[in-house]
Amino acid sequence: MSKALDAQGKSYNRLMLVIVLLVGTFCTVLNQTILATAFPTLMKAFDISTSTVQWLTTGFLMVNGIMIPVSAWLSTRFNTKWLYISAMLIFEVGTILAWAAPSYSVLLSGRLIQAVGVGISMPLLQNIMLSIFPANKRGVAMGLAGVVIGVAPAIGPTLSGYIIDTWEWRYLFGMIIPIVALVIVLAFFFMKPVLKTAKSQIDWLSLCLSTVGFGALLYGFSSVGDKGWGSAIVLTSLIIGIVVISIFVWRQLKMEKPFLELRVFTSKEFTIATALSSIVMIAMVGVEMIVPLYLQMIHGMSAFNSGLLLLPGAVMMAVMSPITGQAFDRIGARRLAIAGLFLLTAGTLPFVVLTKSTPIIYIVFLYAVRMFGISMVMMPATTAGMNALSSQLISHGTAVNNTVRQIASSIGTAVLVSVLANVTKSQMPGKHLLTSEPLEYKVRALNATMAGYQGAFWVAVIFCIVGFVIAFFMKSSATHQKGVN
Amino acid sequence: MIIGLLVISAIAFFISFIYIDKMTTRLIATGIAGVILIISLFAIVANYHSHYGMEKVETVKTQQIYSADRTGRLDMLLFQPIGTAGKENVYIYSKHDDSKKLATHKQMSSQLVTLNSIMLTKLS
Repeated sequence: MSKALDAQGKSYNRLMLVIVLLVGTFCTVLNQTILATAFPTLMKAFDISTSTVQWLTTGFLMVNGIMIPVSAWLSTRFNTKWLYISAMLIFEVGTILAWAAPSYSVLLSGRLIQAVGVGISMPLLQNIMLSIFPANKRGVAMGLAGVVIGVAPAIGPTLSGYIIDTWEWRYLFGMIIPIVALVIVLAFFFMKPVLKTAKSQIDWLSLCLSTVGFGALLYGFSSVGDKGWGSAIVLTSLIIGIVVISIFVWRQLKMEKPFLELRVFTSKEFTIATALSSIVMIAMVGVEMIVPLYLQMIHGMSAFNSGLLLLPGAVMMAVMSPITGQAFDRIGARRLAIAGLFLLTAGTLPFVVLTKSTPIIYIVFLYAVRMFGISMVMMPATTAGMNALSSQLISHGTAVNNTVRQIASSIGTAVLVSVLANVTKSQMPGKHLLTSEPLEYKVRALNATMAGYQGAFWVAVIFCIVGFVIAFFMKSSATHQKGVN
Repeated sequence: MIIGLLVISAIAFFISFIYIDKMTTRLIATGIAGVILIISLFAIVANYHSHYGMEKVETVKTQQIYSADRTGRLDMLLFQPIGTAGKENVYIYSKHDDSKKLATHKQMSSQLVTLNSIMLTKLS
């Protein structure tokens, strides 16, 4: 810990750099989910429909996802200090725009500008954390990053519910502005160019392909919940996405100095780790969305209260993430992943037989057990994957890992929501019952909805079991390889 | 209590699997914690899914209800069928004795009214 040197060989204050980095990125990642409970308010404020208001999140996540592959090039090309400050400045501009928005279109523009900032800051955080700590301390460093990446999206809905109930929606953005302003000022003093950079040309064709490809894929999956798998829009955008990404992948593999280095997948350790962290992401994000729905639909809770009940789980993750990181540095990811996925699977199974009257206290604790398990897998597996790569490849590894995870989480959400919708629909009593015996209809409709939730949880359990099996393929040693270059 | 057991066994599982370095001790301790964890999960599910540990209690409550005709001239219980199958009805009656002059009102056991899932609405 004595002396930390940046890419130019100057010493710097690592603690302050980490604090500035974590606080700033926390503010940006928080915005992924902060509007979740604000939709009804915003619909009223701007007089817009549900499908319009959803663009504030869908568009955000799309731009976010598009920016992540670009971040690999950005972080190897530009001075880290100025890249971070620029990302935060872009984010601040977007936030101010959203805060002051007189109309929906300004609000949406603000959100999309914010998303550019988040798309850079999130992978940059992991990049920096992996670079400034020696390999045997990376677990703790990534554990801290995990607090930001895993916990910020989890507390977003609760925080926004609280702010909307107490003040008004503008404060969702307003409260972030001074914090980010302070982060920017501090970044001038404490952020340092810690990543090695080299002048390189950007391959514009690759940039276009990745933007169109990932954009179309993310759009397709995020529309499934709304339109269903059979919809022409969903199918067209998924096909476009897959075709364009295939061309993108082919081009990357042929290029000498690719835009996104996909050869990181030649490392078996990295591939397994990426698969594992993606599956855990699916299991986390999907259930994170289904459980509040269940609480609201079946138990009749408000969005804010249902978010509040999931808070202990999020806090659990915040507390555990640095602890599991430390454990990773000692024993490696294998045992952690096995233990975590055992707890995750065991904690998910009871959800399969959820009933209309399951006491809420059980749900809170079962959910916390799941998060306990997730905290042992997500960041340790990611770190193990990164440790398998040489240091020049880390920025590409982070970008690939984050992109795959982002797509996985959008697939996870789409699959769980469509299983929920389809099972519910197939069990729904016929409409004629509504006219002949309305009360009986009501009872059966509720049972159908319960069957839908149970179906969705079964899918989550299957993902957990697949992850559990994959965990056994991880390497057991904590020694750090530098395999592929 | 069962929640306490769940929390303790989950933490014990983590600690024994991660922090015990000796192989045999680790496997034994983890095994015990794992089994207790699974038992506590089973108990929780048994409790909310199969109502384990709960007793079936039947409560019959009789409540005095009063004529739907608030002038007090007629003793009547009105009902209106909902849905076309004729199996579900809404019964209409007074919940309170509005007219003190009439000494007697027909009393009706609520059991009769709650045969099926039926909504009770009051006239007022």
